[in-house]
This record gives sequence, C-alpha cells and structure tokens, in this order.
Amino acid sequence: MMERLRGLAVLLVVLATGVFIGSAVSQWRPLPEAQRPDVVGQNPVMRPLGRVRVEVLNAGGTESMARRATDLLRDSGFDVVYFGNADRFGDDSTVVFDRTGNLDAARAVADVLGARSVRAEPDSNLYLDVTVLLGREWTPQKPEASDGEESGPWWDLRRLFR
Amino acid sequence: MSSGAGSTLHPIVRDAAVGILPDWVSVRRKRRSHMDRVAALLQEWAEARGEHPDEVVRWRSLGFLHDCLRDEDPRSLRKMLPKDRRDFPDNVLHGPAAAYRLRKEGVKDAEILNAVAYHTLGSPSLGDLGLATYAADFLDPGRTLRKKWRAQLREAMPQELEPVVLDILGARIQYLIKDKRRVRPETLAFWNHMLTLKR
Repeated sequence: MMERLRGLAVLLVVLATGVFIGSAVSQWRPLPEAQRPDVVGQNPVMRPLGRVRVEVLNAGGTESMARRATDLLRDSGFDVVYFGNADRFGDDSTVVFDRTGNLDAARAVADVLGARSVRAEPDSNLYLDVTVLLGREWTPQKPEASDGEESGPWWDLRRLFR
Repeated sequence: MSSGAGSTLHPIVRDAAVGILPDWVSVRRKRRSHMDRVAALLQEWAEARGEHPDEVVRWRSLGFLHDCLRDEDPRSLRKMLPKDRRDFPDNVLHGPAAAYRLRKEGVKDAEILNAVAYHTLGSPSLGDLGLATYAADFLDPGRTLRKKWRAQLREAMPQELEPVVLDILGARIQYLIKDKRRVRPETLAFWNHMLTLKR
C-alpha cells in the first residue's frame, strides 16, 4: 500500500515538474504571424506620412502622462521631439493640433492615442507637425481582448495566476 | 508633408548655423573653437543621415547655441531662470538658461530648446537631434581625455546614435559615482529610458 502511494506521489511530482518546465519553455515559442507586433518601419499608417514630428504636453496634471503617451507614439513610429508639461494644468480632454496644414498626420496621432478632438492651428515657427495636449481623462489604450481565445497552451500554469 | 519643408527657421537659429551669435552672447576663444568643432560634427552627421538642407542648418546651429551661455557667471544665469528651475548645479545651469533666453527671444522650436536645455544632463524627452547634440558635445575631437575611445564612438556615428549615447551616458554616470557626486534625476531617468531603447 505504502509502495503504491509512494509511486503515485513520484508520478505526481514528475507530472507537475513536466507541466512547469513546459509552461516555462512555451514563452520562447514564436508567436503566430498574426500576433507579431508591427515593426515600426513597416507600419502601414506611417509610410505615406513620412516623418511626423510631435510634441507631447501634459495639460491634465497626472504624473508621467506625457512620458507614457510619448512611448506609445514612438512605438508607433512617430518622432516625438519633445515631451513635458503644458503651460497650465486642468484640461479634461485631449486635443491634437495640426501645425503644418496636414490634418492626416494629426489624425494619425489622435488615432494612436484614442483622442477625439483634432484641430488645425498651423504655426511654422514651431518646427513641428503635431502638438498633443493631454487632458486629465487620457489613459493609454489597452490592446483589444481576443474574443473567446485563450492565451497560451492549456497546460500553462501561469494562466491560473493571471 | 513633414515639418522640414515649409517651416520657418528663426533668424537666431539660421544665424547660429553660420557662427553668428546674438549680441547677448559672449564666449571665450576656446569656447568658440569647441562650438566650431561640435557644429562640424553635427553637420557631418546630419548630412550622413540624408537630412533636408533646412534640417542640416538646425543640426549645425546646435553646435553654437548649446554653449552660448557657458562662460557666463552662474549667479546671473540662476537669476535668469524661473524660481522653480533654479536648483541646477552651477556647471549645468548654462543649458537651461540658454534655452530660457532663446525662448524669450522668440525661438519656439521645442526640439532645439530641449536639446540646448539638456545637452549636459540628458533627458528622456530628447529626440534624435537632442541625442546627437549630447553626443557631439562629448565627442568634440578637441577633448583630450580618452581620445581613442572618443574616436571609436565618433566612427560609429550617426548610424549607432542610441548605443553611442548609452556608452557616453554610462561613462558619465560612473564618473559621478566614483567621484561621489550627485546624479541628477533627469540623468537617471535618461539612463533608464536609453536602456529601454536598447531592448
């Protein structure tokens, strides 16, 4: 009886170890083609626009907001040449300003940020294409959840802890 | 249409690119020579990148603008800055002070102002022009310390802009630590930011 229990215990330990190792190895499996992130240079939105210079200003007052927006825009291929605080805080909504008479660039920036308000206020002295005034309500857009699709293999223990 | 074509360079920026500085600038001969060499480096890198001619002018102008208040008395530089921006140490005041003065003179080019302000401390907000200015200031061929290493880094420019900046930044932080000197939060944030680019 004891021998059987011992055998069962060993089997369980081996199974658990195998599942653990398998879940660790699974993180190095390449993603299927459809899930790979766009390489910036191949971004179909950016190609026709060329280089788009952006400044990002925090007008909402939340700490690190401008930095987070900058990271998001740079990852999407925009050339953020400056980020910092606006002259004043207190704006609720985010506004994206076109500075060169090219609304396409401003709209592309607004799309990435999830901003709804785009205005044309050209100013050639700024040497910019787009100014972003981040409002208090702005948060980085989360990636879309896939419908009914499980992430990772069924035996990946890490799924249980997400 | 990119902001390169059709945008207006401020006269101070355009003049600076050919070495003409505003009358509120007074620099010693040695400083002037440093500016000439940094401007030449920036021009070389901008041309190697295939930048638009107006863009080459902007890059070159930083060679002269970045240190335009370097030889001023720190006490007068500190007074130029708003009260909440006066906590910079004496040796880095000239950057923010110059940026502030340029802004007051009507220069609205945020990328240039930022590059001038942070060319010594570094900042995560720097774009390529700011990174190049940071590198060019350090890699001035006229500097005498570690000449071989600086030459190697210049060789890698402009293609390896970010790795070169990371190397320079790392060396500077190590020097501050070794000398038991304070590392400004902008510099630490710059280091952490540059590491994420390396990923």
